[in-house]
Amino acid sequence: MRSSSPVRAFVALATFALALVVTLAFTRTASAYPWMIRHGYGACTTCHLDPSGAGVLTPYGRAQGDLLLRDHYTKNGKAGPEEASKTAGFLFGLLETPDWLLPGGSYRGMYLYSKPPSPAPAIARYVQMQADLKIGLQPGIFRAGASLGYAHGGALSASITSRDKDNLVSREHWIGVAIGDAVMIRTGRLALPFGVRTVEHNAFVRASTRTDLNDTQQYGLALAYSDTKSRGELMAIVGNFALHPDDYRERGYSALFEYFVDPHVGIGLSSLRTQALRDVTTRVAYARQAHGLFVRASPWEPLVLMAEGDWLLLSPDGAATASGYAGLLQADFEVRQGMHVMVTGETLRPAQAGADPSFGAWLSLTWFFAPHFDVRTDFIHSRVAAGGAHANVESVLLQLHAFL
Amino acid sequence: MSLRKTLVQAGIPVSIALSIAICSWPDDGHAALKRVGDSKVFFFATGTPAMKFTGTGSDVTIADDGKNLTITVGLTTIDTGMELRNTHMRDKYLQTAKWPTTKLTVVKSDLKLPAEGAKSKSTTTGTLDLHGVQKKVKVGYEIEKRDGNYVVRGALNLVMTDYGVETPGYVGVSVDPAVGVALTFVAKDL
Repeated sequence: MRSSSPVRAFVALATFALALVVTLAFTRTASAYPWMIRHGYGACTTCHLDPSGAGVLTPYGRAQGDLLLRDHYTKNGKAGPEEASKTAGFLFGLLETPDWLLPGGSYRGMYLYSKPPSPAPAIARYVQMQADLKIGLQPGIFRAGASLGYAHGGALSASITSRDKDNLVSREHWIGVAIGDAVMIRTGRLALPFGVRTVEHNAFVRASTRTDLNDTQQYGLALAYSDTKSRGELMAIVGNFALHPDDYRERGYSALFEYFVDPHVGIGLSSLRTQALRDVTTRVAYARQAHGLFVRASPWEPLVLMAEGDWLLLSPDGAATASGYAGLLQADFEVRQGMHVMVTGETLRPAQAGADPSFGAWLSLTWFFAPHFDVRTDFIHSRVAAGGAHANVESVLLQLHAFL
Repeated sequence: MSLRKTLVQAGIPVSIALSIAICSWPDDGHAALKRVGDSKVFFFATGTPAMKFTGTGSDVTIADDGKNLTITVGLTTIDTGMELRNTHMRDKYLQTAKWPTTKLTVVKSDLKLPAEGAKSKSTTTGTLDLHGVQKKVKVGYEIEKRDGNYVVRGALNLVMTDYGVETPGYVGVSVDPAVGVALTFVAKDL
């Protein structure tokens, strides 16, 4: 009987576990919108304090968010010739702050419905993905950024408390100096510079390289460069100090470089190599590598195409090096300003001997419907490799995001 | 921004956009040049930190008095992709209510016109009238003659502050006063 097949039972169990892990891991940090390259904003420093993007906004970033991101309920949704609304400011403009002080915060909640293969039960639950307060400082040449939030579940690698649940999390905290307009040196807990910095932290390319915005940040020293033709960041990694003991902490580097062929086309390279004395799961010493290419291109303002391909290598102590790959292809179509339809395809073959590839297809709708607010719906079909077979998982996500 | 960089951005030879052009003229000065077909004008600006944007327009006219060729670009319809930026550019910086156009004048005899099926590529000096200020500028151009028409591409670099235009800035981001300008149009002899 099909239902009694050990393989099928294993696959069902594996996919159920996967869905559970995905659910618990569904906290993520704030906004990074690499498709802003449609407006010629390929570099990140124009709008974000973090030279590689995401996190607190500069005053210019807040203004552009109001002018270019949200629906203005005009014929095409675009803003008129008026100045950016005062509501673009911190706390909807109720509290005016000096330009050197960049406060912020994000709340993102999600209703998740996920249907693994039978007989595993469907999952339906509300997930608080993010509840973070943030601050950035930029007086003179000094730069600093930090976040502090509450996570009911997940994000354990960013926790500053040690409970199984209900932790305080700090996804980033760093200090640095700006050298001129183009260079910044930072140290602290930073998101790893690698690939396209998307908000979809559970995308295969982000999860497999451990370079998401959720909780895979690491401590280290980073040198970033940005000008109108290129941007890049090289980070020396000394480990994630939220992990104990030290054997679990990775040392190595992560880097990216993106060259802008045109204000609307960027081509990038990423490279990462880390090693640790003990893997969290296998307890074996290992070294891992990821090297890849990414492209962002907006051939027509409403359309942005983004692609990333990464080659994965894992060298466990005492075993041969295994290779794998992760890929992402995403098309973002802005139907009218503030309203996005995104189609995403992805694949992953983990760096494990004999591993089979998994696939994912996303249809996502996002609407920046008001100052500081957006809603998003994702329909996700995943074909997950497990135990030498594949299983299909269907998921629907409904999200509400608000930022201060 | 170098002239070569502007030309490359303008599509010479890559063909992305265009330049402020010049058309060459026969020494006898008998033929007059008239624009036919579409025209495009672009400018390329950079800002700090790490910002780049373009403005595009199509309001281009040419006038030929037998000695000089004058290219006039309407500034009120230049679009930078954002209404607020357009408003700032028109009202605060270029002040188009007072100076709605910019003009480039070149001496026709300084231009090299190609024969049918051939291309000419050179530089010349013209006079740019912008924001009520007139200054000599170096202009690069490329002209190709196809089916009796001259396909003209040209480019120049200017510094906005040289023309009394205030350096643009907006909530902490400033625009470099050095701007590349490019234009293309098709013209023919009358």
